[in-house]
Amino acid sequence: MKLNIKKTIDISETEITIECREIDSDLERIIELIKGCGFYIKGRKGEVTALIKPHDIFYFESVDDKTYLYCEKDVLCCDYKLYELERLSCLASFCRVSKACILNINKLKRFKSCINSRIEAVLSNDEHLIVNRRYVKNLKEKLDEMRCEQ
Amino acid sequence: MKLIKDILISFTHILSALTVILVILIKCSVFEDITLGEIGMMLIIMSATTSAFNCIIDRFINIEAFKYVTGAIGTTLIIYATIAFSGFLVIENRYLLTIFLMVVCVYTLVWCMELFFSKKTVDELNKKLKDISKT
Repeated sequence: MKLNIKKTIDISETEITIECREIDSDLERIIELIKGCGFYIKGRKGEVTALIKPHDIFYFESVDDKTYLYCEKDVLCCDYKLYELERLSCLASFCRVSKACILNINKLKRFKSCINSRIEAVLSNDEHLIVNRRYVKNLKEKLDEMRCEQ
Repeated sequence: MKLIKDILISFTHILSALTVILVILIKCSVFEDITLGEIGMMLIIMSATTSAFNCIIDRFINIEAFKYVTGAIGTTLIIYATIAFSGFLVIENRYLLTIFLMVVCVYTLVWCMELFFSKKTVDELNKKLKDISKT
């Protein structure tokens, strides 16, 4: 696969053109990634609405039928349901770790085993999240998938 | 809504346990000798009642250590009461300690096994995570 990058001051907006014979799975992934770059998740905090880039989100959590998105310091209310978020291709680096939580794997620092046999995910902002055992298999598959992609 | 669901689940457990207890008590008055089936039934009562008890503990107690202590004591009493009240075996009070020690042994064994497997899983997950961050 050839990659050509042209830098020019003549254009007002960055444009990506893909020339190919057919769209294979690798290309599909690249297209999804490019599409996701311009994707924002709408979050609300009181009267204020903000557009958050997926890579700034640490995790999503559902509490009392409401979905919240957690950034490094802020917590915003989100219109999507967890199952809807799981289907979004721009959130490919996210994985469900419990019934009420979807986590950004890129924000993971490490996993920790607790004395009560629970598994905790330590995020880069030192926040701890419980990983439900039922979702461990799913998490392993996701990590494998991400390793293969890289 | 969640509380109602939890209460319903606990109620179902208790109901199933009570049904089995009732059945065994009725059977108890008919049969004098213990058969294998009756011992099996007794074990079912124990497991159903213990499951109901642990379910309630799980819902209403948040402190993990307290959960284990209450679970061990409660399970001992359930086993003791089931054996004593079903009338199959003449059980003396000094056996209570033996039953308690057996329950503690089982609890410790389960706890150790869970800890071992969770540590193994964590190591595996950390390895995969490290591989991703390397690349």
